[in-house]
Amino acid sequence: MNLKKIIPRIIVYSFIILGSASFILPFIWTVSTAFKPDEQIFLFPPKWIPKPSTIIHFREVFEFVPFGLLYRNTIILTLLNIAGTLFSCPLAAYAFAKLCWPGRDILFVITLATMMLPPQVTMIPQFLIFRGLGWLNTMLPLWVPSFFGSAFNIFLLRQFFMTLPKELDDAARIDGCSFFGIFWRINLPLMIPAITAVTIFTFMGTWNNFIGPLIYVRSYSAMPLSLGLRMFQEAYSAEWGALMAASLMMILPVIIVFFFLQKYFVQGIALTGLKG
Amino acid sequence: MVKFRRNKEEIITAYLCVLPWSLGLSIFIIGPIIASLTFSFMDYSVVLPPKFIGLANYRKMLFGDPLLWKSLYNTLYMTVIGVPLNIVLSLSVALLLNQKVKGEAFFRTIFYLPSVVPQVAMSLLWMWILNPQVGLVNYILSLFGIKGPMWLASEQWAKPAFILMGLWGIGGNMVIFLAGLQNVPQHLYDAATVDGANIWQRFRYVTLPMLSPTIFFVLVMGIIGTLQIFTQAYIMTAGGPMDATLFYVYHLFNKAFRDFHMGYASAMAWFLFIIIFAATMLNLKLAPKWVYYETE
Amino acid sequence: MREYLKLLTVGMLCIILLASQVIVSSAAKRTLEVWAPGGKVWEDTYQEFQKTHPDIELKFVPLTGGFDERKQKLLSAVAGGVPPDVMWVDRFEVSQWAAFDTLTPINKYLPKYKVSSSQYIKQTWDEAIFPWDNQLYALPWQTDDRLIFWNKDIFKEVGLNPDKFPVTWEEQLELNKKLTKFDDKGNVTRIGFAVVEGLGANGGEWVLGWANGGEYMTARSTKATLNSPKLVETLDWLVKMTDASGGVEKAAAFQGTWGSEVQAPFFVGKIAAMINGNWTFESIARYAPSLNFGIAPIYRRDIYKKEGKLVPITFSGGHAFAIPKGAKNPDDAFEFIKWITGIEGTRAYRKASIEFSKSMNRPWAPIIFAYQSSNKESLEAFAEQPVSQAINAGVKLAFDLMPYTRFRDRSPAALLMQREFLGHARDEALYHKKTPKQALDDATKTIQAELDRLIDEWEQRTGKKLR
Repeated sequence: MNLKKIIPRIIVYSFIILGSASFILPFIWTVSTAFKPDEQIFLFPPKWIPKPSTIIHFREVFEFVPFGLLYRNTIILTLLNIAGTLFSCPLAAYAFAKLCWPGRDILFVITLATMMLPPQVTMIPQFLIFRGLGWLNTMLPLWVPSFFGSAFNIFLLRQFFMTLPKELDDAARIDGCSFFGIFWRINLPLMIPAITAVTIFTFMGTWNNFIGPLIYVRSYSAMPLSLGLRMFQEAYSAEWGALMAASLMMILPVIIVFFFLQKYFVQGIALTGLKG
Repeated sequence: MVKFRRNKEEIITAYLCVLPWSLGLSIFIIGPIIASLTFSFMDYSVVLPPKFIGLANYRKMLFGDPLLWKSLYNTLYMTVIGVPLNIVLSLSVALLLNQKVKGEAFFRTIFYLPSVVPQVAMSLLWMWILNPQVGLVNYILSLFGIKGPMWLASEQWAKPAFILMGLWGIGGNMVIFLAGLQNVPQHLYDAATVDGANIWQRFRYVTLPMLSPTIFFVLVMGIIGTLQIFTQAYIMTAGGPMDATLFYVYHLFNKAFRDFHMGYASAMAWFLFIIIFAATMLNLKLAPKWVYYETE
Repeated sequence: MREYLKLLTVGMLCIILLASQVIVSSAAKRTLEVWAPGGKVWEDTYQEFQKTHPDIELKFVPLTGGFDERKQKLLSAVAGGVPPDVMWVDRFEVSQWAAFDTLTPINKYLPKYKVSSSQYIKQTWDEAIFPWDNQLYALPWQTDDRLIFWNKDIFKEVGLNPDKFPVTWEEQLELNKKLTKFDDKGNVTRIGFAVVEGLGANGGEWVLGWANGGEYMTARSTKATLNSPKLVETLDWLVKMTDASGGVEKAAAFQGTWGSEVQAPFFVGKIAAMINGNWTFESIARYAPSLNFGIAPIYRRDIYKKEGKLVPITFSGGHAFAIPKGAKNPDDAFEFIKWITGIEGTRAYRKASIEFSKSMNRPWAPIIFAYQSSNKESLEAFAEQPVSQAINAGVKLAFDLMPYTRFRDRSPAALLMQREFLGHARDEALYHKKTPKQALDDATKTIQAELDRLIDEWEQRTGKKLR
């Protein structure tokens, strides 16, 4: 009698578990190699659980690069970028999605268009702009632009704004709410899952981005983890154990952040006072 | 539905809202874009002053560079096959993990993990997984009696290998779909159930339409992103074997930074731009046929 | 509003935090901005420079990535008019930088700072000279070379004399066939003699061409000659060798398990013999100290065929330090590159690297410096290292082979040539898409077209005539 309920659940669970098993593989590999002594790293077939395990690679990483400093730089950079993105992008997305104004559609197309040119060819002119502003030798080029928006996030948030029911906006308008008020008090609270997604992407994007730092960073005191890892990889290319240890230390915060931001994904919409 | 006529307040609010973005565009983005367009008409090596050469770059590109067409084919291959696969898979996983499953936070994190692991860590792992003799993929295939191909060592199978690797990166789109699923009001599902709809019908008539703006985003970004695919090949195969994984942007990168042909690379960039722009405009034009926005 | 205000305050605080990170250069001292590798050993070396040069403030910027990444960084800097004073380069790319007028020729500093070519290994010095204007553009720092390694136990196992390695190409092909093993599914389980890059070897394609008496370019690097008969013959032999070890796809599949650590299979007997670099010795000491291996130089095939004499040949690459054009402080820059490539800098580097290896409980083997007298000291230091006889002999042989070495032809099309040769021509021949002659003809055409363009541009710009 309860078979109808159990079978779908079994199917769901088996897909999830099978999928997860394959998806967690890269991570397990990284962890395993990070704790493996050198001689076991190239063993084939791979030993998943290193015996004996060692933490020498983690020690090596700290010897090779000033990891603590890189961590600090990356965290600062990431927080700044998140702040900037959350400031500029929801505003613009709201205007594109909900408001009617001359030039809206053209500007939207331009917004999309900025993502269509491979960055390799705009990299050097951009460098010249930052040089003109006097921002070389600082971290400014790596986070100030985020306060001015990003096409990807604006597009994403615009789509989400457009899924919000119009009735609430109309009701608020009738009550004399300003357009900004609708944005701030009515729409934004319903956008928590989307905002969370944007936060995660910005976090991860900044955390892993290395092209920007490659060109603009000229000292350890401004170097983020991503560049440190690259440098590490270049200088110690055969040190797979240490490389995995460094990668692990780089990944862990992102995983932790993601894990805890989870719950905002499932914040459903409480639509009170609305008829279906 | 009450319609409001355009009024001053709406316009002023809107302009204020897009002010940061417009400023950003004009200061950081439009300039470099125009610069790159200018460079495309020049012989420019970055370190030496540019020389105007008119359409020579474009001519060479279209008629004198067979590698360019090969790289374009490689890229389109990835887009046409990879994007739909990615959308279907990430949506399926999002749907699965949207259920009330025990440990859902844990599972969601696992599916997102590969997007987070740095390329350098993944590349070695992938070379092992895809190893034709002893790798995991061919091992599983052999259980079904199939002799697996040479993957990254084979001209025909290198691109499918990349598509396979790309599937591990669905975490990002999964996150977007999960967020999108939250915006589907429960009362619609309830109403549908009351009307006697089964799981498939609920999915087809409630979930999909409500999710269509999100799907639209994932589709457009998928096309824009995949047409610019580069890093993976750069790290893992150097474009080989036999240029099978030489993607368009990789070829562009070589021209710009290996050979110091920034002018030519800019022409290539603008050619790609036209292709991406056309594809996106097509998507935008077709959108009203299947994308459902609450606000309209 | 409150949320936004909160975000803004966070933003402002961070700006203030970061503003304090902006490096303010002291106007009093002379500053020197150096772009070079990071990591403990290097940084200890830079500190030594700083200690002995208290009136120069050394600002070190760690470099990451290979050619391309460094290029993006340097190109942006040069375009923006803010290049460093000193840059670490691969000698292979010096001619490209020089052709585009990105580096400062350093000939004028040599007499003043008492630097001369006789102090450095000849080929490393020559590689830093741009043949079109015969100017020196960098001081070489280190180099390497290639030898033949083989697994003596495997030789014994199949009944071969473990102390001799066959000299002629015909014998080597036979050896490869004899030692390559397959399983019953037709997969490769052991490669006999690996000579192709990426399939277990390093540098094989280049050195074997020279071994056959071939030349890749004309003397002044104005014409590409990859399709000369001797080189076609070499590529043909490489194809035969690869086919003997199962064909390129199977061999690549076999190698694929090891990612970039191409030496590992040699350590565990999956490759019986290979052409590889002298850096392998340190790896053997570290990962396979009890490996019973032999080493021998590669010999000149053309000389042996004609006169029966055994003349070694090898192939070297390496790095150097250069001064970009527009450097703010070229005199101190030269002082730096003289110091770091000379006796003091190499001593400091050696000391730091021995200490580092000790602290990590690893064996240490010396790298070959370009500065000749430093190598004597390296060998003396190495004599105190507890390594096997074989490793000892190998390291010493690597140093002894340097007089016989060649380097890749210098031209601004060098990178393109490498890609065309190894990435296109060789692969097309190995995959049997084209015959070796066809493949090399096509590659030569592509390279020559680009070379001609570069020569035209250079001649126009400098007003000099090359052809």
